[in-house]
Amino acid sequence: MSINNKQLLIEFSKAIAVPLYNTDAIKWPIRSSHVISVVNDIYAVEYLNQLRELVCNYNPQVWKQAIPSSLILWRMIHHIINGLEKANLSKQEIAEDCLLMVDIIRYIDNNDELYSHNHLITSTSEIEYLSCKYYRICENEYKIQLISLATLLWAYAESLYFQGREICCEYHGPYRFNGEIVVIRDFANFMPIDLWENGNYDTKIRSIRIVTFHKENVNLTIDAFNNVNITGENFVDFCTGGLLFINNKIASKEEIIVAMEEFSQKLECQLGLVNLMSSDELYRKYAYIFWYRKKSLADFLGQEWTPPSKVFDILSNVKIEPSAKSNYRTAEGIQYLERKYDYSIFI
Amino acid sequence: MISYNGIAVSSGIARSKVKVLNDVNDFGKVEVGDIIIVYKSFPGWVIPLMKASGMICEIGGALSHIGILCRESGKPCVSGISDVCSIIKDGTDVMIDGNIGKVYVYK
Repeated sequence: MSINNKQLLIEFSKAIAVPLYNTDAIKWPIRSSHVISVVNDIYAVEYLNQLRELVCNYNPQVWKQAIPSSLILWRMIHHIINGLEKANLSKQEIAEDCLLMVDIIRYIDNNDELYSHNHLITSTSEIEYLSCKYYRICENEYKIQLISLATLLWAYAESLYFQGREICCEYHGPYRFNGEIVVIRDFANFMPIDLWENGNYDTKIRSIRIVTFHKENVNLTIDAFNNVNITGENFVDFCTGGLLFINNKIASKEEIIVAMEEFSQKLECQLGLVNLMSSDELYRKYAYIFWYRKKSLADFLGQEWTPPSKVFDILSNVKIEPSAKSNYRTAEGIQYLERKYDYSIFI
Repeated sequence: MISYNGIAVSSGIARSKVKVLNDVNDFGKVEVGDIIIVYKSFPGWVIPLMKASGMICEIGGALSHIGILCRESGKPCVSGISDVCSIIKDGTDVMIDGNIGKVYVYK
């Protein structure tokens, strides 16, 4: 271990604070915390029990079957901590739970460090293979469409899973190879049949990988919650080429257009479906999505993934007041969040 | 010319006629090169954004859908201009400077 537990927890709080500070006060279709804050104690205690069961009973080599990506944990971690606080666990217990989650994240990512500015999960040899093996799409028109396809799929992921888009998409990088920056966007789970019944989800596409290569002038970071931040030079103009893989096979330029048409239609259809939902229906759906975000863990442990019935009892009896208030827009916002999620003083 | 200050969300400069979008029913009115104006973030804006040259948003920060979509698409975006959806009408000639978060409205 390269750093001690105290330092790890400090890094951990910083990694959470930045994306939370930057998050939007208003989200579509509603900000998840408005719904989940009334049941996050149930969620957090259940989640931690499952994580402890995983760690105690299973060899680390199989943890990735239960939690395929560290994002699954990262993107829930503030809700889990808030839920543990609500469940009146002591600060020391929460600190221990944070360390448990940090250990799982580091194991899944094969890293001692807790990266907060990049998400590196692909080996150098695979990046080399992607860089050298295939003919890239280099024409400007197709490069723009390739990046547009990525933004379209990202939006589709949000329409299916709301803030749980990590179920559907994972951005990783920036990888540096041969004087270039490589960014990989992986998309899957386009058919959420456990969550949605009435939409137009049928597709032959099971997975899409979009790889883009950029000149080193682009300043791109990917935070712990998988938000992409690009500053400085234009991301598209400095794209030197790209690759598209559909169902793990290299795809042609023409297939970009076909995929864009298919997912544009699906996105419009899904948005129409969500926009027709009442507030109560949306709250219930949010609860299902929240629990679905840890389905792979529940499945691995042979447990039911759906929310317990008491969650719906609470949701139907509590008045949820959506607020447009931005929580942390003060000059000290990031420092406040770092302090809020810093449990290093309790170990 | 009138100028408005907002938040620089995605860099670049664009000048064109604007279209104010309220919901998915307005997607069809966007033409290639238009600058689109919306109230808040919504994943559906990705569809008209493919045709648009830039975007203005009343509410939305750096990590809003709009911010991320615009930065990835290489299109300028300015947000945080109060009442922009009602102040600027369809067809108005507008320039947005996503580098400094300014919107210029030409009469």
